[in-house]
Amino acid sequence: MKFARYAPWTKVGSYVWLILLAVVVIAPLAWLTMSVFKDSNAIVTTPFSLPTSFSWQNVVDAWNVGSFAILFKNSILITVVSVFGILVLEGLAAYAFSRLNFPGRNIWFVIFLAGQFVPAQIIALPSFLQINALGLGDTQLALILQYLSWAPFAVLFLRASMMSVPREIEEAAMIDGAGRLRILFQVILPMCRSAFATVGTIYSLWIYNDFLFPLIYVRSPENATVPLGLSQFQGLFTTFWGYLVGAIFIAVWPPLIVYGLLSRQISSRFIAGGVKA
Amino acid sequence: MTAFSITGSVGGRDRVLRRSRRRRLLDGLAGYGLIAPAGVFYLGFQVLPILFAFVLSFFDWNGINLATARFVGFANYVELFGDDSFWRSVVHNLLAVVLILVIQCLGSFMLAGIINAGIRGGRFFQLVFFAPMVVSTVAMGMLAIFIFSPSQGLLNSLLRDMGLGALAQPWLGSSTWALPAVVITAILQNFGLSVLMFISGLGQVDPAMLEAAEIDGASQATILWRIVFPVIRPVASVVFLLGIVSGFRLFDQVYVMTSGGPYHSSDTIVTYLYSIAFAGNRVGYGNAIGVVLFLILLVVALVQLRLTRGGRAND
Repeated sequence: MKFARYAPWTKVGSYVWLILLAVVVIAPLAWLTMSVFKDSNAIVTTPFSLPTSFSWQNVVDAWNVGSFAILFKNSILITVVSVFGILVLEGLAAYAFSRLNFPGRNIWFVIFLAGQFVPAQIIALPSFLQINALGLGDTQLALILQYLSWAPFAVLFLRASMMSVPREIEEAAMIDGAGRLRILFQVILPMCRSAFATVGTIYSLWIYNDFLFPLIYVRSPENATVPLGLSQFQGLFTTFWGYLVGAIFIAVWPPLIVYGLLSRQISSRFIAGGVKA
Repeated sequence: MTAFSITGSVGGRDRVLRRSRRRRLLDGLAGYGLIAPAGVFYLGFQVLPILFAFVLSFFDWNGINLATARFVGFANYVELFGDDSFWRSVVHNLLAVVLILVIQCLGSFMLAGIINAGIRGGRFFQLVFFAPMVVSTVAMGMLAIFIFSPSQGLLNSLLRDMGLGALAQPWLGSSTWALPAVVITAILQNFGLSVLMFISGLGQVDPAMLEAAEIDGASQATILWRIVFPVIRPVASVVFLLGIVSGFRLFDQVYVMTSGGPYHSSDTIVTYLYSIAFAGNRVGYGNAIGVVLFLILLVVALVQLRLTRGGRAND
């Protein structure tokens, strides 16, 4: 859809704004990528010049100092398990809320939705005390349990998409003698594939990038995630810029590369999630 | 259930009734069976903690040994009401909300309008603006430290190279500039999503309506207010709500970039909560802060709900 004539900005002015913001986004990343190949001294003294020699030393050092192999393993494991669990748990719940008539359904639905208004920042402290009481302090399991409880958005979104599956299709399957679960897996799931993909994409980013819960739940380095491990590089800020730039480089590029490959799907799923939530 | 009215013509009314009653019972059991797995986690790690927060906010407790917990009634809330450090944090959050509303919400609407007008390269710009969204807040925050660093930081180097050295600041080390610098970093992260949402909203504006309005000689402002705004209202209300909520929840960037400093000049409600609870070992008081934040966000959400409902009633 276009209404070019209606846009109250001139073409040149438009580009000035667009390019200005694009530079604000790209410049730090470009600087990071240039600096990673320089030594600590050159990063400081010649910030805007291209590196004179290409050395991966900063990245290698940061990878070893920060134990990034462990951090990535933890982050990916926690994210995959949690997102898969979310899709199963909330898929089942969303099906019950969209298709089954059971006493108390509306009350339970409201209870699930109410969580939309409860920010994680408030949950973190009391849930930390709970986790400790359960003897799960400083474990990756504690993080997974917390992420599996992030139900509201997934339930709301999956339910909405299941509601849009025509009932006739389901009834036809029912007459053919299909049970509830078979209908869910063979009729509803294939038709709501894009909704599940949306929830999976959004939750993957939320969980992979979450900083608050690892910060509060996890103490030992072998259980840390990428954002938490990265934040512990901060003590080096005054001295070892090379390590630091290497560590940020390691954390920034993998998600950006994934985004570069799947940008259209990722952004369209975020719009779907943002608009309907 | 319509499916059974079809079988009903075959098997007789009684059998249908009996079968549908059995079906209803089965549906009830199945319903609870299907929501139970999700419910266990949700009740256990979302609902229980929030109740726990309410209860603990009436106690004085160091968070270590439950035997030392002491019921103090509303004492935590009374103290909170007179706590200057808390109110200072609230003011910082309000400032963040204002910056987010002006820069992120209005700015993204403007850029969405430009891109939606069919400018060449629009898709490329969308791609770039959204990119920070996929990067962790910690990585972005640490990158921002380099940008705002006083002597060798990118921003100051750039200002000096342009002959504007007088404008150079020790950004994160200045009590005036630390908070805006942190908020700008947070805005940069979410800006692209706001742009995308406004673009999807603007896509729903009917071009025929715009053309008709132009032929009728309606001014730009009238078109924007009368035709564009009603259509994008639902999207706009989500963008504004998300913006306000993110302003009140501000934590990651503050923690990484300034830890609330210098001299608490960038403390927010959440960083204050955690310095009280974890550095100060005052779990009851920390939870009272959490409960107040919860109430603030509840009011914001209810106002938003009210405004969008009101909009629908007028249509």
